[in-house]
Amino acid sequence: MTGQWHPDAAALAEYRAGLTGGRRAKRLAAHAASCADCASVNDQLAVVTTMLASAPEPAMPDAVESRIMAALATEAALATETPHETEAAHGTAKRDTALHSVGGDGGGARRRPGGRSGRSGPGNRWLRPAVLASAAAACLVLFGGVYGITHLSNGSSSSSAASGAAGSAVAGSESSPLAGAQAPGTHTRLEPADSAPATAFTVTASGTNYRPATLALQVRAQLARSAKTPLPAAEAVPSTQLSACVLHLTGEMRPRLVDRATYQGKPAYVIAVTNWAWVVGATPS
Amino acid sequence: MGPEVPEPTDAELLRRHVAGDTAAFGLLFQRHKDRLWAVALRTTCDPDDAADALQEAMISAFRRAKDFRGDSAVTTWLHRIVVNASLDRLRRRPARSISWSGDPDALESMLAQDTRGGPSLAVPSPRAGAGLLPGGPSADPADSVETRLDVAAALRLLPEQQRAALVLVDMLGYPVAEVAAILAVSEGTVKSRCARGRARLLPFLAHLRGGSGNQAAADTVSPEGGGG
Repeated sequence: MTGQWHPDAAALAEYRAGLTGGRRAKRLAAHAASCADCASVNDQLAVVTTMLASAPEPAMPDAVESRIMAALATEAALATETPHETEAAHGTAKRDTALHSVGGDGGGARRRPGGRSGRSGPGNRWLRPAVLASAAAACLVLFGGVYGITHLSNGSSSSSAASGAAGSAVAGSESSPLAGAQAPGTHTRLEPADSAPATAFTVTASGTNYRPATLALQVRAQLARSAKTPLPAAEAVPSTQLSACVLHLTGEMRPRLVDRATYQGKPAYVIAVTNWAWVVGATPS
Repeated sequence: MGPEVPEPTDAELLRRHVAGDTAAFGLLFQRHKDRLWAVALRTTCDPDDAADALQEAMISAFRRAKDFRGDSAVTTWLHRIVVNASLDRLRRRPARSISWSGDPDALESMLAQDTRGGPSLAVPSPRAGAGLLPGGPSADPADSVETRLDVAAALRLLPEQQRAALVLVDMLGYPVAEVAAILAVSEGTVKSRCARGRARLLPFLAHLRGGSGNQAAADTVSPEGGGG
């Protein structure tokens, strides 16, 4: 110490921030002008700001994004239930919605160790058509999850499932161009849609029983098959309602596969675009 | 594909959400996710806590959207919810408070121990900070990626409220007035928290510069009754 008075760094910082007034400000200014040490501290305070501003801004990890999108999709689904049902559902589900791996497929969003996933088993409420009941045009309910189907090619196995839960295909709102955003991951990974008139698709009936652990591989196999020879068609032309629902689910992108098949033995549609596949069941109409 | 439609505004998306559009809120989240993530991550200094906080915040915003009165920007409202959720998260988690006496050896040890923030928490080396201070050969703090990452790690040394303010103002560049709205405090409080936070980070900066710089900074400051 030199014995001379020096303001502390906080005082200089507040002075720099314009928080100091009157005689005190004048005293600080006069001192900083004549004291090399304090002038240096003053300069360093500016550098702190510069350094903080130069820190790279982190991008949200895909897993976090998928998890939150799934949670929001679940909220949306719950919100469409009657108030009574919603209240009951929130009692058990509101905290762990995003962590459910739909249908217990084990390949859903990675559950964080120590996270909130342990409250109850995988939510079979996803199997309830009530999830989508409020929208008159609801026709598909997601119960098998959303799968990333490109990752499997490099051997990352079922962990590539993009999310354990996602929304639903609810047609009839003005939001259809936004629908794709409801499915985890689709917002960034989908390729540009095919040309406009090519949204028409065929519903196949491959007879496949899709399973969680192998779904992505099975989808890829079907896509490979269909590239060589057309798969057996389930129906000549999909109904208008089904077509609308499927396109709503895919964000108006023509699906590469709409397979009326089974998922873990239960009737299901497996719908795939380039990078993602959905497992959905038809609601009673 | 339908005809081109103009991008809906944030407020429009929120209105659609309240009106029952099941996709609108997801799109709103998508639009701002990286910024919101940055806020949560920098405020909690922990990716797991940040993910939890952000999820809680988004669900909270989803549910409370109908209460949004439009007296601030939607983004301000979202940021406020995320900051609050992040601070709540910090209060709920087991104490991992860090206090630093100013001893550079202790700083190295603290930063080395608390690696929950991921791989960016390398202990700063004196070389990485060379030239960071005015008068050095280079005053560009962006010179060293390592340094930039370490600065983020150093945020953990700050009290939560100072950190939240500094993250928003200095790191993310929001105007003080907007940060005041986000934090629901006065602009003066924001400035004060930022000022104190910057002062608190000074020794860290000096540490980056090297032992002599740290000593110089320590000698320069003498008590003056708390700085007003």
